[in-house]
Amino acid sequence: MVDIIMDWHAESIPIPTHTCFYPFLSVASEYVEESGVTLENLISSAVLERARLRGKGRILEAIRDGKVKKPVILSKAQVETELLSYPFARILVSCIGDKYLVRRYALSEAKSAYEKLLEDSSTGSTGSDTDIINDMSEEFGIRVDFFRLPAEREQVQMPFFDYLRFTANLRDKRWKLVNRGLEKGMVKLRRHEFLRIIQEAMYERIKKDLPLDVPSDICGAIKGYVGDIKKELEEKRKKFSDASFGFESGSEFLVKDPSCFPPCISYILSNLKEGVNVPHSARFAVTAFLLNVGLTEDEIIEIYKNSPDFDEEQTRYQVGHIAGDKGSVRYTSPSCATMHTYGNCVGKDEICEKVSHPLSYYKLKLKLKRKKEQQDKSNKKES
Amino acid sequence: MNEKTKLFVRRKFEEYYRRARISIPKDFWMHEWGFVFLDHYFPEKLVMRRHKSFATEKELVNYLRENAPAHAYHSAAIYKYPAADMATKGWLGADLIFDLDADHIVSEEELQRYSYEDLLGLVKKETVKLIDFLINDFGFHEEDIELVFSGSRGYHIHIKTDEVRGLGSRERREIVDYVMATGLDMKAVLVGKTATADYAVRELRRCTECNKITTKMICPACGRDTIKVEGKMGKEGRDVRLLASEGWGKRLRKGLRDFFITEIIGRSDEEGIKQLRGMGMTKEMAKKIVNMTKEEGMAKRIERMEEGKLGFFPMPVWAKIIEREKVKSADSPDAPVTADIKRLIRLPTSLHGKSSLEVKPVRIETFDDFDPLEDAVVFGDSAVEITAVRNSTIKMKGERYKVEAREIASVPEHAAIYFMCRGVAEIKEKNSPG
Ligand code: SF4
Repeated sequence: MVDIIMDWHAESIPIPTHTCFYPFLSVASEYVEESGVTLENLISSAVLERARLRGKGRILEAIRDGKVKKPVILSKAQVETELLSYPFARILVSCIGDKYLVRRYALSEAKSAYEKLLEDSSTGSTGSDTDIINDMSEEFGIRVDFFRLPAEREQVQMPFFDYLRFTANLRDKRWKLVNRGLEKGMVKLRRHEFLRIIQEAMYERIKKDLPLDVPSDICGAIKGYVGDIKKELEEKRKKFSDASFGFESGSEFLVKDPSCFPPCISYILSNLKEGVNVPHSARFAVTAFLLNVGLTEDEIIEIYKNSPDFDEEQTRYQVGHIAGDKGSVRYTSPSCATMHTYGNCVGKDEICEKVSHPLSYYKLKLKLKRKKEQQDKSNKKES
Repeated sequence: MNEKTKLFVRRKFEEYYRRARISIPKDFWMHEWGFVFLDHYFPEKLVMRRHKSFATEKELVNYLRENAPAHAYHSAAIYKYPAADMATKGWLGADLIFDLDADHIVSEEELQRYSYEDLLGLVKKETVKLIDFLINDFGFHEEDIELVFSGSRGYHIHIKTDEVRGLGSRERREIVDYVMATGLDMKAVLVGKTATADYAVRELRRCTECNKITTKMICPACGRDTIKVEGKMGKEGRDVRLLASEGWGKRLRKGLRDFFITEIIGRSDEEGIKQLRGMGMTKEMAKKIVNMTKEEGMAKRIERMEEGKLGFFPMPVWAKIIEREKVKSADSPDAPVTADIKRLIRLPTSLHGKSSLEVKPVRIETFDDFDPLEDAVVFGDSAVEITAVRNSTIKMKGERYKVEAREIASVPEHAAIYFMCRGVAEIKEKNSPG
């Protein structure tokens, strides 16, 4: 029965092959909608097993490589498999419901689509560059114009509202609005820059509504596809946490040795760990301190995850701001005097007497600790 | 402020709210409202009554009339449930607000040195710059930019279009960064060599002292003048830079020109040299440049600056020009006001309880002539007797009033209430009736 339906639709609804490379576009979802394949079919029909496996594959590739490979399309059936695998992947991701997975999956899909887009626009395989830009901006509701300055290459311009909306996650300072040509509300862009913005728009589109609210019986019905993904995810996570939670790795080279942190910083950290709400000034102090001793932004965000009002986006922004990306100044952690003023100097000890800055505390204590270790070693040798 | 004075001020505020036409924001029912009353805590402790909402205009106006608040605010944001607590309000969007205040523009120590009038002048200058950014760079229409005197030492700008309402705080931060030149990268605006060949192909010059062949006006080897010689250098003029024609590039073109015209050409030689030396140039260099501005070719050079075609300019020069062109503070550096999408802003046409001045909407066309100490004064001229508690002076409606501590003075009502709100004077106690 399903076979007949599929055949019939394949005949009657022509769909350009390359659409299946961008399965999140409205043409693609319209196609899926009109193809008559129901949710029921999608999760259980035997003929759609290929689509389901490909759906699962999409997610596995995303976890493993951060990319979702674009297959070489040889047949119409393959186009359909590709198209249908996407909604199935969304259902799977939703049933697993892991935030990290959602982000990673959406990003991988967007990145791969962007690469395909670049390829298309340079080979002209799907019409001119201008067509692609027009199609994409229409798809994402961005008003674009083309213009050409005398003796310069043609450029694209878009309203700054859209520009800001889609560049919110781009950290390089050349994306900062202040460094762009902005005139009468329009931001000027080179073509390839515009395509890069489209990647952001695609990411937003893919991430949107994820995880979906999938009824539990449906999640139950597709349990069989979930196991491998969860395993892959666990492995990734383990690697991730080993590598990134800088000061728990117990490495010998003690660059980020929490046992040498000054009492004020340790106090704030333990509060964060326990989910106690920490005032803004203390967050600033701890963030700047950790950045100064060499933790990455991601590592610091991990620490904040326990915080009761954790908001990833906002935290990322704040940490990024303190770290000095997007051209802002990089901050140095506050001095003891400032810490004291804001009531953040907690647990002063004898080393504190010798320093006026938490960072100097850290350096001094590290030095003392190393010295002691050396001594211990040589003591051992002697004995 | 003693109780008696407070009562007097309150009466006067009530009178104002009874007669005033309050400018009620569109969608007022979706805003959260907050007030500070002239109650017995005031002004030592300002108790903000927040999370209020009004369903009808009449309700709002009556509330103002009944309570005659010292300060009245509404949220920049609109909410589904404006009166709920913060977590459950249901944020729907927020107006784009800029808050330009004198104490963000000059440092705290400096603040003491300036008179109130001077401070207002300084903020006005920054506000004009900001409006220019909003119209020319951001493309807002003049009628969408609501300019309001803050009632104290600054100006507010409200923009309420649908597009801005959806902006998140990060996006707002980018707008503030733009007007304040935060994160401006000269590499992004110096776009490279000139595209037109005429300036790229440069004439050769010879140093009058050491005979070095160069393209420079001043010999890079010994710092003496050079003269034109036969021959050209056609290598696309490697050190000729082109300033971008939009965004900050455009502003820097104009800024550079203005700088030369007002700070160098428009001043005495000594001052011009001082300016340039202040930017880290050697005395010789500064002299050369000042002399250069008197040469015949200077008009041409200014023209080139306007076209963005530049010889080399060292970083300190750019820093200076950026400083002149940017909005000094659309926002206080430590509290991202504009980016704060949940903040409260003064209700236009309400009174400012620390000055008694009106939070007065100003038309952009007439901003040039706007004088808060004339146009935002709402109280009358009948004489009021006050006892000053400290020295102070103010010029209102063209008259200067000066009071000294413990002095009893009779001043027009508007000046009297101003002094009371500033905490400079109390209403004079009547010793005996009659
Ligand atoms: S004295 Fe300085 S280092 Fe020690 S606890 Fe206080 S702030 Fe931290």
